[in-house]
Amino acid sequence: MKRLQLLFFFILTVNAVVFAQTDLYSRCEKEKSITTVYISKAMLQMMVNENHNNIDKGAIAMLKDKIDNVLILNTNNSKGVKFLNGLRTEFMSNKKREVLMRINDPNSDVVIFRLPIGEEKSQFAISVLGKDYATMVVIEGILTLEDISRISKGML
Amino acid sequence: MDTTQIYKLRQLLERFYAADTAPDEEKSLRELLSDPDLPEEFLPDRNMMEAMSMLLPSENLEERISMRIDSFAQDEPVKSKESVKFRWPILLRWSAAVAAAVVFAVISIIRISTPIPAQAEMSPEEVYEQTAMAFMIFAEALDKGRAAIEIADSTTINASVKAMDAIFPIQQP
Repeated sequence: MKRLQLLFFFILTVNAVVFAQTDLYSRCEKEKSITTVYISKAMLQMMVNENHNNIDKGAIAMLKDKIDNVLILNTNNSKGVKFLNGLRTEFMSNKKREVLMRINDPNSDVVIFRLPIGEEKSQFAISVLGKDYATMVVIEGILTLEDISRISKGML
Repeated sequence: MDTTQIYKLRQLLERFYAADTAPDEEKSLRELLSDPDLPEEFLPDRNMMEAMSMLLPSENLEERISMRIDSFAQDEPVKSKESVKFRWPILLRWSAAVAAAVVFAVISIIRISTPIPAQAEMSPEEVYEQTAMAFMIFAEALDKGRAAIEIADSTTINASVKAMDAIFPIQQP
């Protein structure tokens, strides 16, 4: 019985880890008040191949090897802002998710989260809440915040 | 006590000491020895019989043991029923766990086989723009954070310098 229970919890954990991002995507896709963009690893690689002249070599390597997927959620209506605010609250209440940074200025409230999803893999999420808009970006892969910063500079 | 009884008593005692007496004969022997008119010569035998009767088990012991054994035999099926009752929840738990595992496995397989809808309508250029925007949001926030930390650092240094300036004149009169 104990073995079966252990197996059951193992399947549950693997499932939760593997499908964490897809779950988030499918949940957000149903919400019509927000714009959802999911970029898979294959799509990222295709984009890198097509635009390799516009991207820094270091950033190309990181985009190809380190990023698994990118999820962008965007809204500029009150219903969508409420939805993304709820998602942020959910992220904050998850004890496994670490709040790396929180910046609150008169224009926006920004929180950066990190969730370990494997031995080396992490999920970085940024939630930006403005007065009449909200944005959330979720990036998964073997990367650090420094890598994200480098890729951003390399793509300018 | 008449001579016939005395004769019978002698015979029974002989048989008793030879360990040939049946339970009925022993009962008769005890009755004869308990006679108030027992001759003196038999008094040691009476005393011995009385002493032995104290060591003998009570009359209903055999019956009681039999009843006890019967009651054990009757209790046994009850216990086996209880054990059957105990097995049912275990079986149900196993069934529930197996069913849950199967359902979970089926859901997982369905989810694996259902690919995430591809962003077919997005061109590589659009993907580039979206990706660049996503990373830029992160980078801007990080820059903002760094700037805030620098401001906080310089504010702390300024405050420390002002505090030192205020303390210094007091220390050197």
